[in-house]
Amino acid sequence: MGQKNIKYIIKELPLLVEKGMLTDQQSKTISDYYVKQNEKKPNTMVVAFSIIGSTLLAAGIILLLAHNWSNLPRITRICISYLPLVISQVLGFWVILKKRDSIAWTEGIGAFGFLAIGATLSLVSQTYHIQGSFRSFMLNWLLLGFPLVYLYRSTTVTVFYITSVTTWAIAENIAVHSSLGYWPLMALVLPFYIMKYKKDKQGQPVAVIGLFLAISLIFGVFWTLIDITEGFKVISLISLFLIFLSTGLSYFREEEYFWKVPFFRVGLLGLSVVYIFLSYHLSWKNLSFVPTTKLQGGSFILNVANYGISILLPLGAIIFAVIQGKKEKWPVALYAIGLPLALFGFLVSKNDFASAIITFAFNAYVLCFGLLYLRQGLKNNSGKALNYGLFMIAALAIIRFFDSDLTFITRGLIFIILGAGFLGANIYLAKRKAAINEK
Amino acid sequence: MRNKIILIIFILVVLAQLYIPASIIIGSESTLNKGSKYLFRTAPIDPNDAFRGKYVQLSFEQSSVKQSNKRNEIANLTAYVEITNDSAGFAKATKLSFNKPSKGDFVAVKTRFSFNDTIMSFEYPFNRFYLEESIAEKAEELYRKNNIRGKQNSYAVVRIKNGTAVIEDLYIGGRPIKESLKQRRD
Repeated sequence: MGQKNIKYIIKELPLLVEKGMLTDQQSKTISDYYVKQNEKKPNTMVVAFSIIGSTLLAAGIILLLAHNWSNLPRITRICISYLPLVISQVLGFWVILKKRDSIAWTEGIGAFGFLAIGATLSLVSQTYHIQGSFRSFMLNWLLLGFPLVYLYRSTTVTVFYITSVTTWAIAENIAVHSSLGYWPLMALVLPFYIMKYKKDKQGQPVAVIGLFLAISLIFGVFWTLIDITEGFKVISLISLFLIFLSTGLSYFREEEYFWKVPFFRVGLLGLSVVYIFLSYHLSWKNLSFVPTTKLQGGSFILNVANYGISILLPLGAIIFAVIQGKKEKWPVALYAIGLPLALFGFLVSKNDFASAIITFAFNAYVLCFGLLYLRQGLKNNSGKALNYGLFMIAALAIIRFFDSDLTFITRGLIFIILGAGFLGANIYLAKRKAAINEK
Repeated sequence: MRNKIILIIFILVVLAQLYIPASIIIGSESTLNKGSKYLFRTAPIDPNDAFRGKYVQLSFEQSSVKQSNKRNEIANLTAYVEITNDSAGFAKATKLSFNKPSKGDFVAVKTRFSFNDTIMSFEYPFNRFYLEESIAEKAEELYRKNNIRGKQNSYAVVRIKNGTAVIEDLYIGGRPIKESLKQRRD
C-alpha cells in the first residue's frame, strides 16, 4: 500500500472511533499494523536518488578525466585513473561491513563501483594510446563488474550487467559472427533473479530485472544464434515470446502496471508483432526452411551449442505452453497455435501456391484472435482486452490496405469504419460498466 | 562465518579489479622502457576522418606485406608482422605469418584481406593518438597539412617488445606534435 493511503487511514482512525465504529483498542491495532508495514519498506525516493546520484557522479568523473590531461606526467595520470576505482572499493568495504542491509547504500555504491571499473580501464588505455577492441574492453569490464551483483545484491548493478552483456554480444557478433558466450554470461544472473523472486515476487527489483532480462533475451536470440535456416529466427522469436507468455502467466499474478508483469507483456507484444509480420505475403517468399551455409565456418563446439539452443527454444516453448495450457487455456493455447503453423509454413513456402495459402492462414489467424479478444473484452467488461482485440484487427486491416491497390476513397472509408468501431465499442463498454456499477 | 566469506570474496574481487588495469600498465611501461624504437611513416589520410573526438586517427604508409603461409579464412585474424629498419631509418614490415616469429622484432596485427594470395593487407594495433581536448582541433589541422600526398613528413615513434607495440609520440614536421602545436600558438 502506498504511503499516501496509509497516512489517510491513520488520519481517519480517530474519526471512526468517535463515531463508535471502532474501539480505541482496534484503532491502535490497525494503526500499529500499518506503521509496522511501512517501516519494512525502504524509502523509494532515497533509493532512487542514491542510484541517480552515484551514476551521475561516476559519469562526471569519467568526463573530467576524459579531458585527457596530456601535460601531466604518466605516473600522475595513472594515479588519477585509479582514483574512482579505489574510492568505490574503500566505500564498498565499509558498506559490506556495516551497511549491507541498506538498499540505498548498496545500490548507490554498487552502481558507482560498476561504472568506476569502466572508467579506470578506458583511462589506462587512453594513457598508453591503446586502441584495443571494444568487445575485449566490454568483456573485461563486465567480468570484473559481475561479482558486484552478488556482493551488493544490487538491482542497479544487475541491470548494468545485463546491458553490458547484451552490448558485448552484439559487438562480438558484428566482429566475429558468433557470440554464444552471451548465454552462459546471462545465466550467471539467473540465481540472483530467482533469489529476488522468492523474496518478493511483486517487488520492484523483480519487475525491473525481469523487464531488462526479457528485452535482452530478444537481442540474444536475434544476435547470438546463427540461422540454421532462413526462417529460423522467426521460429526462435515465436518460441521465446511463447515462453515469456506462459511463464509470465504461471509465475506472476496479472498486475495493473505494464512493468510489473514484464514477461507476459513483452511476450504478448512480441507475438502480436511477429504474427502481423507473418501475415505479409513477402515474408513467406523471402524466408524459408532451406538450410543456410553460414554455419559451416564455426568450430564444432559452437555449432553444437548453436543447434542445441535452436532446438531447446521451440521445445521449451511447447513444454511451457502445455503446462500452462492445462491450467488455463486462454490465451496460451490461442498464441501457441502460431508456432506449428509457422513451422509448417516455412517447410512449404518455396511453393507459390502453398505460400499464398499460408499467408491467408496467418491473416485469418490474426483476425481470429483479434475477434476473440474483442469478445473476451465485451464478456468480461475489460477495456484492455477489448482495445487489444480492436487494435489487432485495425493493424491487420491498415496493413492490408497499404499492401493492395485500393483507391483513396475505399481506404478513407475503411479508416472511418475502424475509428468509429473503436469509439463505438469503448462508449458501449463504458455505458455497460456504469450500468453494472449502478446496480 | 558467512560475513567472513563475503569479506574474503570482496577482497579477491578488489584485487582482480586492481590487477587488470595494472597488468595493462606494466606491459605498456615495460615496452616503452625496454622495447626497441621504430619510426613508422604515417600515410596520406582522408582529412575528414583524421580526427575523431579527442584522438588523431593514424594510418601508416605501409599497410600490406608478403605473407609466408596461406590460409583459407583471412579477414580479422591475429597475425605477426616482422619489423626492421630501412636505409632511411624508418620501420619496414618484411613478412607476415600466422605463427609467432622466434627472433627479431615483430608486432601482432589484425589481417584485413589479401591480394593475389601472396600480399596481405593488415592493420597495426597502434592507430590512435589521444590528445587533450583543448589542443585537439589544432592538432587535426597540423596533421592534415603535413600529410598531403607528396608533402609528407610525419611519423609515429613506436616501441616494440615481444609482439606488443606502444606508441610513444607522434612527430609532425620533424618535431613532437605537442611542441609543433606550442610553437604555432606562440
